[in-house]
Amino acid sequence: MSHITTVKTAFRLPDAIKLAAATLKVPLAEQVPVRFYAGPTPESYPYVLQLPGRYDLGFTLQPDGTYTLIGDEEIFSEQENSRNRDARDHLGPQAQWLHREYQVGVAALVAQQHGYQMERLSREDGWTQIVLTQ
Amino acid sequence: MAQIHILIDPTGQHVQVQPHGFPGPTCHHASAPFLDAFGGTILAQESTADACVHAEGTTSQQHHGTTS
Repeated sequence: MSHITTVKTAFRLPDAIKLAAATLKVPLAEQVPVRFYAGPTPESYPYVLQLPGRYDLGFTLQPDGTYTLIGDEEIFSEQENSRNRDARDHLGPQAQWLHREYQVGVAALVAQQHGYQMERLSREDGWTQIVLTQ
Repeated sequence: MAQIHILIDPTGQHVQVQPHGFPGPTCHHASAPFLDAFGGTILAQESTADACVHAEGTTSQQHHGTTS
């Protein structure tokens, strides 16, 4: 049996998406279009982070039950500009804070289900540490 | 004290789950619901000296390498 497991994660749990949106203080709408550079999409998406500024960031459901992000490429750009600044201010560079807060939300949900007390620590090296104690 | 440590990398896309101090077979059961919930792809699994302690007090040293 193995003990320490490293996982490349995927968005799977809508409740954790909702927790992440609440932590980031971004409204999360359901079944609405996503705003891109050229305007809103004709389609609606299951969950959409309605960001201030020009762009939104949506979640689209895949056949395997995971969600992938859909949004203007400038949200994921390494360079900040006047159009993606609001998105970066709320989601971090390349939406890293969204990914992080989703993982924290997953941990919080499972911890609650299994009776763990949860403590969150931010490390100097940029990692987030969560300590769960029964 | 039984604990699970979860480490999230700065990109937010990689998570490490580390159970500590769980006796015997409960060690692996303890991390299972977290791994299930995080989903995605398992990149690596490894054992450490203090990660899981068997009920009789010996530490599991088995190592199953890296998967992808």
